[in-house]
Amino acid sequence: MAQTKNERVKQGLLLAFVIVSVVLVGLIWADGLVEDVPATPSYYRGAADDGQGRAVTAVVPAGDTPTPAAAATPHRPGERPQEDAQDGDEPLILPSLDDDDA
Amino acid sequence: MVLATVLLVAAWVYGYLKVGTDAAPLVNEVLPGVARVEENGDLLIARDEAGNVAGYAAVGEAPGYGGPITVLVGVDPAGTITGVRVVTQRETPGFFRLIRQSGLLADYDQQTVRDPLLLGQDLDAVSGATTSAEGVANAVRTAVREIAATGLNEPRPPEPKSLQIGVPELVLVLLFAAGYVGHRLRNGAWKRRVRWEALLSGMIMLGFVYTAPLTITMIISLLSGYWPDWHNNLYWYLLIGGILFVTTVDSKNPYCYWFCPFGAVQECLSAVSGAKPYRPRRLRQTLTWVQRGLAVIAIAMGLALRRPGVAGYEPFATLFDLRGTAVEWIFLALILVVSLAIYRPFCHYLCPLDPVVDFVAAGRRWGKELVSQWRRQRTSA
Repeated sequence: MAQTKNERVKQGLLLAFVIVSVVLVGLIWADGLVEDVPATPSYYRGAADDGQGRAVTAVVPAGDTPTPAAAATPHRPGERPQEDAQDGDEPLILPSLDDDDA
Repeated sequence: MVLATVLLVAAWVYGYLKVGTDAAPLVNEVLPGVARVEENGDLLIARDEAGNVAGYAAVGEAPGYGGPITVLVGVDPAGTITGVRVVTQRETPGFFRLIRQSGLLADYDQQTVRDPLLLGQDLDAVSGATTSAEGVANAVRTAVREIAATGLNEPRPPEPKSLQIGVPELVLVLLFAAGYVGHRLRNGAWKRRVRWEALLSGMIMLGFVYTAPLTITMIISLLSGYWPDWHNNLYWYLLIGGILFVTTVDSKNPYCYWFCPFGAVQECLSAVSGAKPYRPRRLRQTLTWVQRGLAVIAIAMGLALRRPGVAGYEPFATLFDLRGTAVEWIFLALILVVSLAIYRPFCHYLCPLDPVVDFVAAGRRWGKELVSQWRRQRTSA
């Protein structure tokens, strides 16, 4: 009788261990899923204000064959950057960046 | 087994159809002054209000620990990196927490498309999350290469890949060899000695030194198709391939009772306290199905979300790297304490790898049975 009681206690403890472990595993999964925050850039280089409320770094003048500003790396002779949008591609218009939240 | 297979296939299909992120709307997070974005193949051209080119962006992808890491990189027309943003990652939360805390992305400040952008060279390595950090760095280099080639007309030559074989790979091969030889020893005393030496070596080397045990995350990455570059991840292929090969061919598990580092820790505690295995007949079936259920849920979750890192729950990194959340520490402590009373409690009741190995062994038996039936039919015909 004592052995049976002992055995029941051991089985109960084993079940308790497994149940608690399953709960902890569920919490570990929940932790991992909640932490699904894509790393927002820990790096975003600050830029000068161009006087019109926009932050810019180096800017290439608009044109048919845009070339980088003089301070930038020169292109190889005869080469042009491929900057034309493909036919049918709609450029994505982004909202104004007056409030920089970087 | 059939139901589990159907569920896992459904999870795989769901994950395959669901995966994908549009990076174009994120360009203003890596480039200043962006008013609109044009897509030119893989290159994103950012223009300001006046239509001038404000910079270029591209998405780069490279394998991490749990799967591909995708980053968006912004570069100004002068070729200087203006921003780096991780778009998607499938790493174990602990690893990626380290990446975020390390400031790896801030190392790209003032770097240009002409710089090597290599960890340990112009970028600081991240201790404890090497594979994840390499994934981020490789993904950034891929994006930078795209921008340099198609936006700035400065193609970078591809980095030569060389096979990296080091001490971890050699240790792993030796442990497999010890398991293979040990299984075949007839002398019980010698068998026990070889097994203990392999266990302790596995615990020290694969556990505390390299923190590279087999995990369910690796299995889910395998099933998801997230296979890392074998040139610098040979260890991954040796570990998974070795276990699957031996289990399939020899019907023996070469890992769990021979050199699993966490199993070794539990076994050491049990040896100190004299704990014995405990599998009460009344509860055996229930406990087996609980263990299988945990494994199936973990794999299904990892496949459906395509985030192998999140599905893992083994407390290996907590023990061997001393890194984990409060819940993970409690889980580890519970297992270690119970190991003093029961032999290998995590292995017998909770480890997700045991059902995977059982599944492979069952598949092997089923395949053998099919082949035997086919041969009998041919013979009788």
